[in-house]
Amino acid sequence: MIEIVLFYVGAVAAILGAAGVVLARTPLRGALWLIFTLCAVAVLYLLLEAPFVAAMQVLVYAGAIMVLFVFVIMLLNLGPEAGARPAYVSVAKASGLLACVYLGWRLVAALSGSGQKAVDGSVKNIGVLLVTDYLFAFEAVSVLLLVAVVGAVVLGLRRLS
Amino acid sequence: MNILGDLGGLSPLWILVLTALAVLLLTVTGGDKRPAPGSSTHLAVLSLVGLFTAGVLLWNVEGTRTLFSGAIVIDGIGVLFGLTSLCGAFFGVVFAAAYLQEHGLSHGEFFSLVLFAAVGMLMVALAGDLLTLFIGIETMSLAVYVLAGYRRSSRRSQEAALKYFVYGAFASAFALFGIALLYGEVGRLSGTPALTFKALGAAFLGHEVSVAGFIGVAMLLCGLGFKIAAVPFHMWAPDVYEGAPTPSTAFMAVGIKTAAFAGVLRFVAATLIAGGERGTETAIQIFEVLGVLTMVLGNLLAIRQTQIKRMLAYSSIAHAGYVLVGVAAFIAEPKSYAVEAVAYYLFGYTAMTLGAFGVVLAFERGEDRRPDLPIERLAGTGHRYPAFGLAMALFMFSLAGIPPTAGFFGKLALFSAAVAAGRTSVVIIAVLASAIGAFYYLRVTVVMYMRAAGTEEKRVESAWLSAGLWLCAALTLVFGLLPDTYFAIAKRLVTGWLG
Repeated sequence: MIEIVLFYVGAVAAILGAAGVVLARTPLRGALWLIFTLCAVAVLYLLLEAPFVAAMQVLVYAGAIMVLFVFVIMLLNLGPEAGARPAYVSVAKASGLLACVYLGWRLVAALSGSGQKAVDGSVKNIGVLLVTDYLFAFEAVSVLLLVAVVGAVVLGLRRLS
Repeated sequence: MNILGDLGGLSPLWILVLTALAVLLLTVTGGDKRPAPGSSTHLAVLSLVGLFTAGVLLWNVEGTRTLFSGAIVIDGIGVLFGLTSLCGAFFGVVFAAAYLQEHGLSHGEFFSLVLFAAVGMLMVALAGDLLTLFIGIETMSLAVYVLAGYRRSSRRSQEAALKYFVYGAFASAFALFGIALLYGEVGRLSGTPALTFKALGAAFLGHEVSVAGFIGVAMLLCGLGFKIAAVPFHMWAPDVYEGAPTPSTAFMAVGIKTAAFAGVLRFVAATLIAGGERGTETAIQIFEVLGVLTMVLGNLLAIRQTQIKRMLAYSSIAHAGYVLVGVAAFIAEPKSYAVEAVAYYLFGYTAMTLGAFGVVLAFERGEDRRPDLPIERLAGTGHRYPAFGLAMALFMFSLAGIPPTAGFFGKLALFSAAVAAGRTSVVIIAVLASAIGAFYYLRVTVVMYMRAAGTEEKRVESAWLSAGLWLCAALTLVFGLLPDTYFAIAKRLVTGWLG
């Protein structure tokens, strides 16, 4: 019972927050709404017995990445006019929205009622998987991060010439 | 799991990573001055040695090896496509050595990023599961985004990098969402969720795959379609190809396309034709429609271009279309010869496209500061620089598909694979499309030889450039004259891949 209540609270909060991101007048408000949404989704992860993903959601996304977002918004001094969007409705927008609704509906229809149990999302299990089955991916990501660092230095370095 | 043994099998990958690190360290310890002429030769040589060693190690792999619990599968298709990607990286470094010297840009970071991108390409080519595939795609893409924006003083280069990055990140998000759906679908079908192509194939064979699974397949193919610049996902290519420094453009045109096609083949083999059975008519038609759209639109838009890099961008879109026809033939008739045809085509494409960009690079001098080379400026260069003119004519003939070049036999192999699979109507459209293509390729040759020179275009003097061009021309011609050599090797490697 309590799970169902928590699910609906989390789901409604996530949807409201997402709407807030899109409708917010200023970029900063949008970013704050995004933090709200991410935390609400973290609640849903907890209900799916995935505490590790929930913790990462709060720590990495709602924490570190959103700090970066807010930092960039403040640094660029984006005011309300920066978020001004053209309000027209185009064929592309309408068909994109329709496709989203259709695909989302088909997905929900396909996935609901399958009665699948979630995989073991405990921290311990993830840790074991990371150094056994997914050892290569775990190591390969370090190369990916290294490339990102080198790229940032190459693009950001100011040469004295 | 025998970690040391697995690491030994993975030696081409970590040798490239180590070489990239060594190049970076040598750059950092080299001081903060602008590169003096000839001071960076050792970096280029080191990079080339690393790439060559990785290639030899990959070449010497015997049989199929599965490493790291199925995350990496070293088999024929991985070796073939991996070697072609390494070849692209090799020439990328050679041409970059000439270009960076001419334009006074720093060498070390460029070489190390090319090496890192090559690591990503090998990961894609050797991927045994979807996670490795994704990390590989991200590694090569991230490196190439930076390479596209390497000329920081040029606005066009910056614009190219940003466009490529934003579109690319969007495509990656699509691919990742698709992978998540497939993970869940495999779990629903077989009881244990898994990411390996093997588990994917087992789940797709003999089970009723739900809509979620097919949405996953479609989303991942969208992500890969962006990387090969197939037609609804091609918008970024002309701007990025034009704005990026020419060696980056050459490298991204060949390496990324080759690696992404290896991913497409592996993925298609696991899902659409699981178990070596003929794919559904819908699947074949989707690939054929994509292929036809890609080559027709690419060729038609290429005709109107007046700038050569933009023209080559549309031409590379068109070539992706021909290869997609080969992939469709593979789905219609899952036999190894379709894979061999795709591999041969991409190898020939690598040699001739790199060569064409190499000639473009020869006429981009440091003081010009223009992002692209107008085709008109090549007027008369055929007579003034006979060797360069001859090489460019060879590359253009090969791109147009005129015998006896690699481009001709590649098209022949692809189209006969499609005919053997019973897809004749598509082949007719493809032949017509390549006839349109011949027009704009030959126009470049006509301008070089038969148009009087308005301005005396000077060329870049560099031993690196000449060596790279000669090698590319040799590959285009030798594999054009002796296509059977390649096919014999490819047959030996790919046989048994489909089980």
